[in-house]
Amino acid sequence: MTDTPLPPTDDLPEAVPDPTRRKRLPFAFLLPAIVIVVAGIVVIQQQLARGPNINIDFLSADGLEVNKTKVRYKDVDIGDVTDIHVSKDRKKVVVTARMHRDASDYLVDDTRFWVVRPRVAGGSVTGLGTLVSGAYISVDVGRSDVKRRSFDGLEVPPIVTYDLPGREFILHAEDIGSLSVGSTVFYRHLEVGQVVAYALDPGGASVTIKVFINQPYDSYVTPSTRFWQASGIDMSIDADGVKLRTESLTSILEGGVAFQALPAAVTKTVSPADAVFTLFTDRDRAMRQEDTEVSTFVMYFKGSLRGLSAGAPVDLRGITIGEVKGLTVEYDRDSGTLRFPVEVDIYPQRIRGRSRTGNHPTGTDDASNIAGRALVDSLVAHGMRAELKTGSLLTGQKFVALDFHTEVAPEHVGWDAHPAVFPTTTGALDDIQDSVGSIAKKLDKVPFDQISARLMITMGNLDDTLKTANHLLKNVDGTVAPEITATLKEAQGAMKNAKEVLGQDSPLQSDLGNTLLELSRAAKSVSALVDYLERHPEALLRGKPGDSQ
Amino acid sequence: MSAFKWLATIGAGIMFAACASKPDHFYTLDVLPAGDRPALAGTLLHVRLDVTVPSLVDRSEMVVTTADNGVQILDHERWAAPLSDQVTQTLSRDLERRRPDVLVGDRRFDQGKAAAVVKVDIVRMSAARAGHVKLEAHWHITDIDAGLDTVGGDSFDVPLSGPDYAAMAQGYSQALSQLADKLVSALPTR
Repeated sequence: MTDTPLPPTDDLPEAVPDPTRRKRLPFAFLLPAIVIVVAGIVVIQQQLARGPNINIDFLSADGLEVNKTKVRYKDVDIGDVTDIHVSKDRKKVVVTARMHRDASDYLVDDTRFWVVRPRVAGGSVTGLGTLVSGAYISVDVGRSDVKRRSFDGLEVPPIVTYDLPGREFILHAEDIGSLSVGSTVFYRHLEVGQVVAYALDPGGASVTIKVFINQPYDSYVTPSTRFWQASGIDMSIDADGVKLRTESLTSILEGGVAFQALPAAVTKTVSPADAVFTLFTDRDRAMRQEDTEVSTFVMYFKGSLRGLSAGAPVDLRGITIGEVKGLTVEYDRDSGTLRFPVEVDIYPQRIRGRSRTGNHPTGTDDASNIAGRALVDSLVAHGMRAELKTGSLLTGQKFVALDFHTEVAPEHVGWDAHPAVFPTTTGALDDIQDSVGSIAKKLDKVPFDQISARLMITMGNLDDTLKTANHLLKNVDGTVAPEITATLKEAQGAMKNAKEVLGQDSPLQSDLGNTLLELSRAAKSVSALVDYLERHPEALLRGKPGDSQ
Repeated sequence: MSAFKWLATIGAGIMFAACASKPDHFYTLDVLPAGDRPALAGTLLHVRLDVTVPSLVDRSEMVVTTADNGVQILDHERWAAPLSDQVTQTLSRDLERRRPDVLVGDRRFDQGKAAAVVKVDIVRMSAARAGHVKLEAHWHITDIDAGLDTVGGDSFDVPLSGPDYAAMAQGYSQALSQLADKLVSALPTR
């Protein structure tokens, strides 16, 4: 294309600007401006209404969805999940939520977030509603004044929320037992609180447990309150029979803590929050009277200490007045022998003096010490000795029994040593052990094998003999007995006959009498003949001479 | 046969003739009073009678006392039965004559069932020729049913009616009759 120069045109009018029209904005610009302004206002308003964005870290984003999952406080929506992404170190999931403006006050240092999902815990099922509505993030608003925008989400819902009325207390225990977070706290079998946390103490020697007790039950926690493990089943057998003690079915499964004030306690002072208590292993230990006076003694036993352990009771005719503190081995350099000291704690308070009246010498420690020593000295002088006894034949557990022995050499308490040495005696158990040992040795020498062999032979012979005897008896029963009976009958008949024959009126008797009479007469005749021949021997030849006149 | 043989036979005959003894006389005791036993009457009483006779006279021959404290045994004057038997029998019959309700037997009769036992111990029984018969007896009568015992004793003296031995037997019979009189009074009655 080529440029064609146009002819100069002078007759063309010069353009004159119209100042009025220049000053008026064109109407077409007005509408977009209004739109922009309105839009700006809306945006600002929206920005102002939205509130802050926060990040919450969770271990997993199970059930969470962007732009769908809500953040709720007391079931009121206070925010929406706007983004979910994995952290750079891939250990967590970072959930970004845009909170509502009026919820910005909730975002303080101790505010807690957790995901509400369906959960089955030991004693309850929660979050069932989320099966339909989907999971949501719940908030427990803290009380701090420090603002915060980034949080670590809780994996499990908190047991106690900040708005729950009540107080927390701290318990120290040797071990956690079967307690866990959420375990119930009982007061007179009522569920009044829960275990909210536990931690191992530094050094690992004990456990600290935090319990939360709801109002108004927290007011029953006083300085004289005792806590104990109410886990499982506490079974005891005593003179009243078998006692089964448990707080509730739940506590059998997941453990529990119970508390109660000591019966003698009169104080009404309510313990402050976070007061520290000891968690006893069972109710009996918890409610046991506290022994303030403790006298420590050392006892040297001759026999084996097997079965005796720390904590074993020191028993005075069935009443526990102390316990074994420890067992050690001691090398006596002077004699070059080993000794086995048993250290025991005795609570003199449990031995009350009968003569004691209201005025107990409680003046000073020394005074009570001297009184205690006098008491122990008196008891030992009357024959009190310590001996080892077996508490249970099943387990072989031993305990220290104090009792009065009449046939013991007089001894004294060794107050010079520290702790004082309490005199002991070899228990009946040792004697029995010795005698049982000697019996066992003797039994060992008995030739049981030979005896049993002979016994077996003898038994065999006896069996044969018995069989023979049985056979014989059968014979007697079947053959001999009828014959004997017949014989006896015959004998009876014979006796009857004899009686008839020998009777006074019997012919034999009468014949016999007559015969004897005849015999007597014959004898008389013979006698007369002899008498006559004596006088007249010639009569044999010459006949009887005549009688002289 | 020769003359010597005849002589020997005759001699033997003379010698045997020389051996011939004097004849014996036998005597019995009489039941007094004589006659039959009266008819049985009343509740009969069995009485057992035991009699013992002194051995001096308890023989077949009669024994007489002589003046010089001796006795003579008369070999030819004899009792017809042993004297103790005769005495028992005679005394029994004597008692029955006196008590018509009494049956008397010796120990062979109704032994052990007698209601009464009469034991008579004749301690003396002697006779002197042409003199007296003397009889001395003890008795013991037991009433078994009543449990009563009666003891008694007596002596009897009977003068003889003549010097012969029949009179002596008569004397003995009378003495026994007197003894029976005594016993009857002591016998139990029913």
